[in-house]
Amino acid sequence: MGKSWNAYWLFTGLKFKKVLQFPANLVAQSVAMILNNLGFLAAWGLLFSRFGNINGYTIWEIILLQGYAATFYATFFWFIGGVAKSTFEYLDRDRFMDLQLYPLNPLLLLTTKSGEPTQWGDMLEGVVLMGIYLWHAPEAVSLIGISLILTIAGLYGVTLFISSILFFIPKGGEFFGDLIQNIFVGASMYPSQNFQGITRTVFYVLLLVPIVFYPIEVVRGLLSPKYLFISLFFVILINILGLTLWNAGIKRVESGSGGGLVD
Amino acid sequence: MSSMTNELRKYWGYFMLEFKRTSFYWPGLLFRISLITLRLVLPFSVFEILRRTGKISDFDATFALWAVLIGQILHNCDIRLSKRIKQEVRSGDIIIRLMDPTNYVFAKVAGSLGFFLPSFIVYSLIFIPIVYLILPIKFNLIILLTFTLIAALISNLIGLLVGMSSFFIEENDGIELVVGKLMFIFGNQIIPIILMPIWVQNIARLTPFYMALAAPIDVASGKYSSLIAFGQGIIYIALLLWFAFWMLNKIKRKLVLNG
Repeated sequence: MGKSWNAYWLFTGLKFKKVLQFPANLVAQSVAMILNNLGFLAAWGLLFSRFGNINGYTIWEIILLQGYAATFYATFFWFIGGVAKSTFEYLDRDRFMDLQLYPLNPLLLLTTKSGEPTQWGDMLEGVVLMGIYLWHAPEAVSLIGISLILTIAGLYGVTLFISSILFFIPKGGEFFGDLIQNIFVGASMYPSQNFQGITRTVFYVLLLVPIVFYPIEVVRGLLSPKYLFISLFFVILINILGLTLWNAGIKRVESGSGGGLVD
Repeated sequence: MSSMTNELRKYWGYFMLEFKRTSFYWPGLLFRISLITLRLVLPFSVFEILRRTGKISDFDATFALWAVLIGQILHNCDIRLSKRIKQEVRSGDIIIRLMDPTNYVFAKVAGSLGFFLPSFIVYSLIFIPIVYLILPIKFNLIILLTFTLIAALISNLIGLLVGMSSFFIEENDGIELVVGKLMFIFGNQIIPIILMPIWVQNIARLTPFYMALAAPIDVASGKYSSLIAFGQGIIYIALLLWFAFWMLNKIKRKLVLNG
């Protein structure tokens, strides 16, 4: 286990070094990403400039949500998002054995297979926007770290669970990463208290409510911090389920070939 | 006359090539359907709040949803010409394409429409009847389809120009990003422009980005004059085509054949 962790930190460190080797590219892509994200903020800004406060929802909430989403997205893909990005690729090209040939845990290796220079822009923007929000509402500072950790860990569990399904149903897996990204990051940028009735139920089933909405609503002071325990329960549950399914799925990888799936 | 017919036959060939290529791989279709649904459900919660708090009328809330729906359908039918051309330039096979006796600009436009049409039919048949049953709105279908065609031409010509910019600057990601964001803000992608301040609406309606994604539903439901929109559409198509040909001539002068 110790060996696997050392390898994880080694590969993660190399990933960072590789990005830092091309500073001009890093700056250009980060700035592009920040401008891209600010377009969303601008659209909301225009909406608020016409209607003012929308059900207690103001530009401050948008700043928090955008900052929160950008930070958890960047952290996730910096450190553990490789499962979402690369599982399908390894299985589709029958290359899963490449990972299994290392005397290390293949899952831990796979988690390192993500990280783009654009995510540095997300991280920078996220931290600045959250800093602005915390300056406006300093009482949120004690909970924002725990909430972020819960969201990131929950997202990892969901990703692991969905990626494990690819061992059994590989067709269409190339869209999973994008879909998870769109659902979790997209939904986190809206006023979650507005999703009621059937929409909230569907979002509960997708685990969006306990993994993303509860932590954000706790930070915003809309919910008691006790709700973080509900989030924690779901985070642990989905991670256990994901890991169990992963362990079952990995047995389907053939050892005779490059690492394809047993028909 | 016969050379004209032959020419048209070639463009028809490009159209059919993309048309046939658009085979609906079910996981991809499912992904697009999920994406469009998600992008309808998320902003709808905001329109609902605005309606419930009396800030917009029932009609405007319904219209806002339709605006996002049509905007999303049109956006998802786009072939992403800019990305394709960038790939062609990077892989080097662009020279072969430019040496083709058919006109590069017309061939690209014909191909992109071949991709657009089946996609539009499929997404429309899935979403429009469902949304109409839940939240009906009065609109003129013929006007919607006419302006959809104009929108498709404009959006693909914009994509073509952005793609062709990669001949002049190696990394055109910045141009792609700026154009993408303008399409996002002025093209009813999440927040329809009818919910934006009047001065933004006035600016938006002057841009080709509005014509590319937002105009069809606005015109079909009477929110914007069909005559003005038609005139604007024709002017934009002519201007974009002129600019595309101007760029094409510059590009041809830049090409160097080695061996």
